Amino acid sequence: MKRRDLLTGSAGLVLTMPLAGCDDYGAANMPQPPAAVVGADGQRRLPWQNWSGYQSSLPERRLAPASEDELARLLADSRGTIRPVGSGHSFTPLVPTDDTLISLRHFSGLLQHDPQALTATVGGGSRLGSLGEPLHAAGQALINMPDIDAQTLAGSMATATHGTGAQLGALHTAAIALRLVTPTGEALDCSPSLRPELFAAAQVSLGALGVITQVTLQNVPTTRMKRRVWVEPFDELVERFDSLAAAHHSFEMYCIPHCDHAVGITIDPTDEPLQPRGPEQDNDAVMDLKRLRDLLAWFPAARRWLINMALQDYQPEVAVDVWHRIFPSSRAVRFNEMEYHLPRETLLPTLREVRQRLEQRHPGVFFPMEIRVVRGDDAWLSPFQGHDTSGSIAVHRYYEEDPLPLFRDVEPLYQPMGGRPHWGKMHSLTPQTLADRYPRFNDFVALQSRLDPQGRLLNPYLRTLLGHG
Amino acid sequence: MNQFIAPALAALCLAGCGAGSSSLTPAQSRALTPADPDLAALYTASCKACHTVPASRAPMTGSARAWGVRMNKGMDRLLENTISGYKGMPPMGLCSDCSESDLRDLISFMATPPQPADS
Ligand SMILES: Cc1cc2nc3c(=O)[nH]c(=O)nc-3n(C[C@H](O)[C@H](O)[C@H](O)COP(=O)(O)OP(=O)(O)OC[C@H]3O[C@@H](n4cnc5c(N)ncnc54)[C@H](O)[C@@H]3O)c2cc1C
Repeated sequence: MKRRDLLTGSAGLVLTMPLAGCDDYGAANMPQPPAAVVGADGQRRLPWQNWSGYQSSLPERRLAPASEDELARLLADSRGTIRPVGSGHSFTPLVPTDDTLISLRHFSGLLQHDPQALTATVGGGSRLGSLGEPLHAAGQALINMPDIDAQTLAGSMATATHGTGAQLGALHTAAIALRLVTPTGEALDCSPSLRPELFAAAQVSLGALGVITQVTLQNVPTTRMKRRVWVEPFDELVERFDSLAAAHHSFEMYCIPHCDHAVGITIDPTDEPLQPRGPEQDNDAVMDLKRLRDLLAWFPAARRWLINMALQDYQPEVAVDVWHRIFPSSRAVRFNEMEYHLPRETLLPTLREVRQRLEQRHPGVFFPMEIRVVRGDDAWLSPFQGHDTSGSIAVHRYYEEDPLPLFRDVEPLYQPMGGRPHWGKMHSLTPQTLADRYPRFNDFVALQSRLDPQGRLLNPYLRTLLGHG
Repeated sequence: MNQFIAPALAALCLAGCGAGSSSLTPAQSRALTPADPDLAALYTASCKACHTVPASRAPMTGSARAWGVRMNKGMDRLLENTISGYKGMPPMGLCSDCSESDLRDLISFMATPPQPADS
């Protein structure tokens, strides 16, 4: 019997059993967006929602200023709260406001570059994916990329978005200068030598200090990358994690819940001939894991056996292509996410605890966990601040299912080692805890109050997060 | 995430395999741009990244086959799905400043197959 027939047959058998498919996994608890209303201009006022649909608001104005002057006037003159928005890919309510949303889509693209120094100045509203071709044509590459490339550069930096690699910093570490239009409409350039404190604060600034219109990046020479993906027993891959992370430019691990195997992915520079990535199948695969969950959540042993069997035949996958076609993937199955950054030495023991808790108490979870490493840096609100290397663990929940029971249950496991949450991913830390975990947190809040004395950039979430009550 | 499991779990492909195929190539889809420059700017910034890439599972711009089924549901239904998000499609696509009429125009543009001379 072929593996596929076996699995399909098993699934069919299970379908005849009475217990499957009754749980909606908290779908009824999911927040609903506000209904659209008709504005004075006769047009519907449309709700804004983030990528997963979990966060929403009903902005009165959605603006896309065409120039820095227009942006500065807007910031200085606007009434109510004003929030910059990138691609809406943050899971935390950093963006929502019922007043004014500002899109930076006119501040986009490669503005200038220096072929010798390998630097490039780009618009803050540039989507990462739109930078690949022009940078490559200019002989440059981003130091690293996250899982996807739909985010804007300024939006990514605002939450310390990162990829993986022990020697690779998060995206904001590639910034060597940036231009910030403050809430009073002043345009301030900053870099490590010009207004260095402002620069260190603005590198990761939650959209709370002003609007970043352009960023100068220190890039690296463009190169082909080789990506290798393989399956290995979870315990063995954990055993080899440190040596793989040390040996490869980029290394990460995915841990499939309710299964004994894990997946390793390495990415390294190469001169080998092109061998493009095949058609993306991740999205089908994650929906297959969901179907198995729907059928077999009540029978964990069978579920584990089936997933283990399916992974046995796996042949390692290799692809070689230009960097910007190797790093990002496509995410067509939506989810909500919690990711914590930890001192590197605590990563693997914590991973074991998280995996155990997830499997024992949350049979409904089918999304894999993602485990990455990130080089430390000095930006004030960087979760990697003060670390040589950080380790990250991310857990996910399907977008139609209540993520909070899982996230609330897993989050305490990160606290004894002073875990710092990804700013764009769900967490429940208070300003007091954040001030304990970030040596410059209070300095950041003081600077934010100076730049924005009226709190015009603060929505309720940011007000609470920064301790403004 | 989970960029690994697909090949690994290809054996588990219980349903949905082969969805979204189209006679239009990605290159042909990528070559299409709205004539109106403002709409073209919105399209390039917000829709093109997914609607010309088969891996995203979004219906490809210009694909009569992919859009025909959807347009049969009626523009109002498509508009509501665009505003609220639908399956993999995030709410409003990636456009935070699109008006309702922008969204209608973008949908109409993407659903229109290329004229023979252009394709
Ligand atoms: C499918 C998916 C995959 C992801 N993968 C990764 C990953 O691999 N690694 C990772 O670290 N994260 C990842 N994330 C999280 C994501 O990278 C961050 O949440 C990022 O901040 C989103 O960028 P954005 O452009 O969508 O910004 P938004 O979410 O729209 O905004 C984020 C913040 O940036 C601010 N902002 C936006 N533009 C500006 C500006 N011009 N000036 C000042 N502030 C601004 C906003 O006000 C807000 O505070 C992922 C998210 C999703 C949905």
